[in-house]
Amino acid sequence: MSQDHTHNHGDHHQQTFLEKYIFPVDHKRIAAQYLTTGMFMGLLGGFFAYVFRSQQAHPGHEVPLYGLVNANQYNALTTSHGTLMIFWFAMPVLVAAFGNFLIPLMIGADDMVFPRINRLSYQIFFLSTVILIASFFAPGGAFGGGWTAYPPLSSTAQFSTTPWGSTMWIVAVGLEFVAFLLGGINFIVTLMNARAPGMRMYDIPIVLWTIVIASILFMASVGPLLAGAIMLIFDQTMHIGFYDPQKGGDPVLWQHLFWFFGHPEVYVVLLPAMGIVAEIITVFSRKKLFGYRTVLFTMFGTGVLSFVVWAHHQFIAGIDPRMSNLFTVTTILISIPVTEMCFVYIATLYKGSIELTTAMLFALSFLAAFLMGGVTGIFLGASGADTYLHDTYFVIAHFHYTFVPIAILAGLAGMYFWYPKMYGRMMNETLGKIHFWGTFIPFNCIFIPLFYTGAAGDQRRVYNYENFPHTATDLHYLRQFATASVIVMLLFQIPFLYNYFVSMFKGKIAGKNPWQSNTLEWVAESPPPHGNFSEFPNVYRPPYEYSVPGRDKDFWPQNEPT
Amino acid sequence: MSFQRPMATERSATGISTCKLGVYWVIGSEIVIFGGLLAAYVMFRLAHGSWAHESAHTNVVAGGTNTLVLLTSSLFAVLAHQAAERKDTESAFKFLWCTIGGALTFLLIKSFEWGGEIHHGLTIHKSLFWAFYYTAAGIHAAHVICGAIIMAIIAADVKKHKDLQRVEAIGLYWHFVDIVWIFLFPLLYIAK
Amino acid sequence: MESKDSHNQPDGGSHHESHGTSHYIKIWAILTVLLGLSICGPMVGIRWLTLVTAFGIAIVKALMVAREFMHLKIEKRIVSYVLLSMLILVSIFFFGVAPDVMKGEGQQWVKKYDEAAAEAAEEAASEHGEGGEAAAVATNAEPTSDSVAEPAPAAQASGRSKFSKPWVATPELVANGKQVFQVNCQTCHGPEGKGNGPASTALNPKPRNFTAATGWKQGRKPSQIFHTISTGLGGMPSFASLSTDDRWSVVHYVRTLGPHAGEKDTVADLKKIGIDPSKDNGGGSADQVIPIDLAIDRLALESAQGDSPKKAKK
Repeated sequence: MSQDHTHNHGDHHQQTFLEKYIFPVDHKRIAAQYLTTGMFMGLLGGFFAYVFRSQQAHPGHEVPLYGLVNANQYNALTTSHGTLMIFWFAMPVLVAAFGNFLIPLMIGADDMVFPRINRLSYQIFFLSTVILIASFFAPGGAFGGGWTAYPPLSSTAQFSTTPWGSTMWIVAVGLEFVAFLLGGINFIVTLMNARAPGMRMYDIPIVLWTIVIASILFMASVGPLLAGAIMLIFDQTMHIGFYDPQKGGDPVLWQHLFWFFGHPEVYVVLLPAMGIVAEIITVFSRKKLFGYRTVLFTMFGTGVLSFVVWAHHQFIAGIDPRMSNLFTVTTILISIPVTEMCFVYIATLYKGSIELTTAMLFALSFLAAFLMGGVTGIFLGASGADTYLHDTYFVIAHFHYTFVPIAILAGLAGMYFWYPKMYGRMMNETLGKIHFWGTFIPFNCIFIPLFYTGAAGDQRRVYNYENFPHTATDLHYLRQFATASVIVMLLFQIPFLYNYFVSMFKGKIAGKNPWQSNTLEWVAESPPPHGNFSEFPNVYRPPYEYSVPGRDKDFWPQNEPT
Repeated sequence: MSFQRPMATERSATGISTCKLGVYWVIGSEIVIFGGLLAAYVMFRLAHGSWAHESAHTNVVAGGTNTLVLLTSSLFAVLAHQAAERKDTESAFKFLWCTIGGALTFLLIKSFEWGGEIHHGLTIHKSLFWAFYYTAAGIHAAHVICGAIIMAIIAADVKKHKDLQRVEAIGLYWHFVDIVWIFLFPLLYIAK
Repeated sequence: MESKDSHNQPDGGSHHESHGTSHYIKIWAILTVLLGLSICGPMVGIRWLTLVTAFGIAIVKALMVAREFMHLKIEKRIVSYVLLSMLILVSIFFFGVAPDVMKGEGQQWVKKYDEAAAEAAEEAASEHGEGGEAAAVATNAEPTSDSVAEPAPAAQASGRSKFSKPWVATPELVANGKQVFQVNCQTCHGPEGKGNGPASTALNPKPRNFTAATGWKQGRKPSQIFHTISTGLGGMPSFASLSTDDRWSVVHYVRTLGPHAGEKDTVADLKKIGIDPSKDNGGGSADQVIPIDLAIDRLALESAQGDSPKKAKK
């Protein structure tokens, strides 16, 4: 019944440097490209955060390593921080890098089904990165209208003062969408079709489900926004008026187009993060996932629901109040499946044989912090409370309590976990733990104060609170404390970077399966060669058969014949 | 620098070929793109009664002819697929180029149509109706152009007996482009 | 997402088809007939017939192309479900957004795009036989040039104003100006207009000191100050988002902060920013010409509405 496709790529043609590193079609190399670009942009986004938070804490003073921050620059920095972190860090790392690396390996295939489209998707993504960074140097400066780019600020140069920056920004974002559409199609078709013999629906590791469902969510929601982006570019460059009421347009249309995508987008990044965490906690508690089908169908439900909650971002934009009622109900409802997934993970841990590696620490911290973020979202999802809290730092603290666990805690967990497979060597655990505590504790120190200042009335996107003497000046010390914590957190990324690069050469040799995991990627060599497997595996069981009674080993790889 | 197709591309756990599955997902994403744009158009159209007067100036003859052209080109695409199924590469190649011919005819008629309209001052700036008109039809035309180019590349491969399964795939894409126009035509051309 | 244990030949669907070329040509012929119907139907002019023929037939045609040409009727069901879900999402988008975008007015606002004017203008124009572009351009167009010679609409000094001739200072305007100044200008220019507001610490060059007679880059005449406020200057953004009344108010308030009374506008100065001082509302630009009967209708409508659209409903 099982067929053995022994397909030896071997070295039938020597790959040139260009073929191997600049224009690769190999999914692992493309993953590395996405990871590198993503990490670089993430650090840049973090630097921007440092700059604008320093301006907040000490307004009007020169920021070391940057200079004076004026009002326009402040807007550009906050806009770029949001844009970079979501589109050029979270998505490339969590979806593109991990998706590209893991999917073919975990399904026992030799590559993605469309390798050249895969390469094209990175090239388009790279182009979008170049355009975005170029926009920082354009005449007038970088776009400063918020990552949400509401018109008329974003559509009219007279208001935004950044005619070049605005257009380059939206073009870069549009290209990035196209890149991820192409990549997503690859992921979906590969998972649907190229699975190893014997891998049925419920034998697929959760992380692959999450990445592919995220790709589907992305693809299904980005369409209207792509259309809207073209309309915005026309408004900006040709003064058309799609969003200009004086010409018959409607700025609220943009809001809807944006958030119809914007909300599923957060699940696009959340799901892969939860998938990564699922893989890690099963391995390091040596226990089966508590409810595979529960998690799976809950994930489907979350995905579906995510399409009907978007207007909770627009509660005070003047939308139809009857719609607000509807969206409040759906928003509160969506917290249920997501929480359920988290509880399933906690149940997985219960009575497990826990091993607190760095990856596991990050995964556990994800659960704790994300739950906090989710809970604070309930206040914001209720349109009544949101009337007060909208556009305050409470919102910022809420979404950082969800986004930072997603992008940073879970992303780092994944990097620590799969590093041995990617590079064939182990990372240093001591440095890893220093990195963990130095990231997790400052992270809380940044955002808990911001819940307070937000509830006290601090509005978002304010460049200098001294201009508004009636705001909570007695809470200024909280803003300064948060800023100091940002600096500490950024500094603690240095041990990580050192660990990452030095371990590639000096780390302990990892072997094929250092974590003693069940899934198929650990069957290949570390790092896997071009073509991944010398003998392609077949699958005989689901992925989480850990600590099965009656067996001498506490794990049971998927490819081991019965 | 030869590219070797991975073994993964040949696998098919769903029973649908990889190539076709990919095209269907592309079509899925395009449905939402065009759907979003046209939904916005419909909202505005329903809210602005005056647009009916504007759309009276669209050229129904050109639009109707173009609809016929695209329908016919879709027919050729299906015949090309049929030919590919029975490995008749000569006919498949001919039918594919007939489809591309349809695309070129469509674009030709459109350029005359738009040329005339612009000459009469019905530019994209004239009103929001015209803005939608040019934007929607323009994005559609861009898809026609891309589809025609890809079809030509596939036709060249077909002549060399290579990758015949792609004829069906590009045909599917082409039918989708046709369907979008089937909806664009009444939305943009048929006045109230 | 069904999977099979073995790697079967893909495309089980299309192998089973025994439809010949004639079948496809038949479908094409039906589609052509339907196309003809969908063009002729609307010509009759009955609304429901138009809807049925134009859009109903479009749906039928699309389904036929999908089922017969794309072979969706013999394809695996999952494909149809995926495509259908995408369509459902589009409709969710439509029904979620339409209540907002299709609304023309709310409790405190009215969409400025004037339906009635545009429709009437179109009808008037088509009555006159011309393609309708000229009048339509007159009502719908907005000067889009960015050149300095022609003032951009927001910078235009005329427009709906509560005050007659707001370019002439009055105590009312000055008082309004003080309030607007405190909210919008004080952060940079300081409470006394000395250019020493809290935001000025980060600015270089510093904001204008209104108490001084020198240093005004674009002049101290009211029209010149108005121009600066409307278009911005250097580090100062444009405040065209403020109404013309508010901008004029600020102009007059700012002039009280220093020895500027001597600097007055000539008729030429005012014309430069698009104002015809002989008219109460400044005249407006030539582009905003509308037919007289329409103007009378608008006047009647505006006096019925008064300040808020709600009044018109009573």
